Amino acid sequence: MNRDEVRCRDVVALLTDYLEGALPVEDRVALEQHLLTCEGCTAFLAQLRTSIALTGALDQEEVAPALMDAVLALYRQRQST
Amino acid sequence: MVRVASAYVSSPEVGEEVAQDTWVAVLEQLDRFEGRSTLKTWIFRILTNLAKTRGVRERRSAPFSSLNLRGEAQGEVEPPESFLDADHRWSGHWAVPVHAWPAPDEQLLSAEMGERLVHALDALPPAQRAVVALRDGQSLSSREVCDLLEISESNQRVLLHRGRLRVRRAIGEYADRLVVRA
Repeated sequence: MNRDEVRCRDVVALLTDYLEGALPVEDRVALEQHLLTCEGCTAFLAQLRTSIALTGALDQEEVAPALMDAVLALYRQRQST
Repeated sequence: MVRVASAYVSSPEVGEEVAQDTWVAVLEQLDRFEGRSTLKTWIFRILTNLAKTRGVRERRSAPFSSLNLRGEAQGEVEPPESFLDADHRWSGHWAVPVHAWPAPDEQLLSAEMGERLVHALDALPPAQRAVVALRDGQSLSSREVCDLLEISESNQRVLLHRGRLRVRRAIGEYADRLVVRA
């Protein structure tokens, strides 16, 4: 990333690396400074976070937590016998 | 689970069978679970092993395009959003305003959004779908997903990023309409 002139296109390309904590510190600082002044990128990051949260909410329902709990309970029961 | 399994087999229907077989195997092999990983990771390990075996068997009888982990992680990403052209003074900046979505507790969690999200996830290329389902869907760690799918951390991030952008864009059309109405 050219840190002197950070473009929104570059920021969007790096958002997952940013959220993963995988950016070199200079890039992270440049990206965060860009976010301070760019409403578009700030809104886009918030949208991405919402989209990730919605995916999580959806898939947690699919692998039923109750089923997982039941298997875990069975496991503990077998271990204690 | 079906989304992850389907990355290795010929169809979602076969993926469904693999997911069912996984629960049978989980109960049969529960004594072998040593608690070194979380139960969830262990279950997904069984799932990917069964899916891989099933995929290999299927390919012997009917060839189909298999999981293309490296291919999907390579090449330029087409810019998914609208940015200003190279000849513009503000080249590379947003060409259209980006609006904040409403809080995810009200309309955003509607049944229609759920349907769009399912459709968007199922429409992802197989490797992106598997990574997004495991990371964002099941909250597995980056390390766990790399181990399960046998990919590098950087490939995993590329697949995750491309998948996330597609999902955001797919539900964005709906979410943006809510902004306009609000």
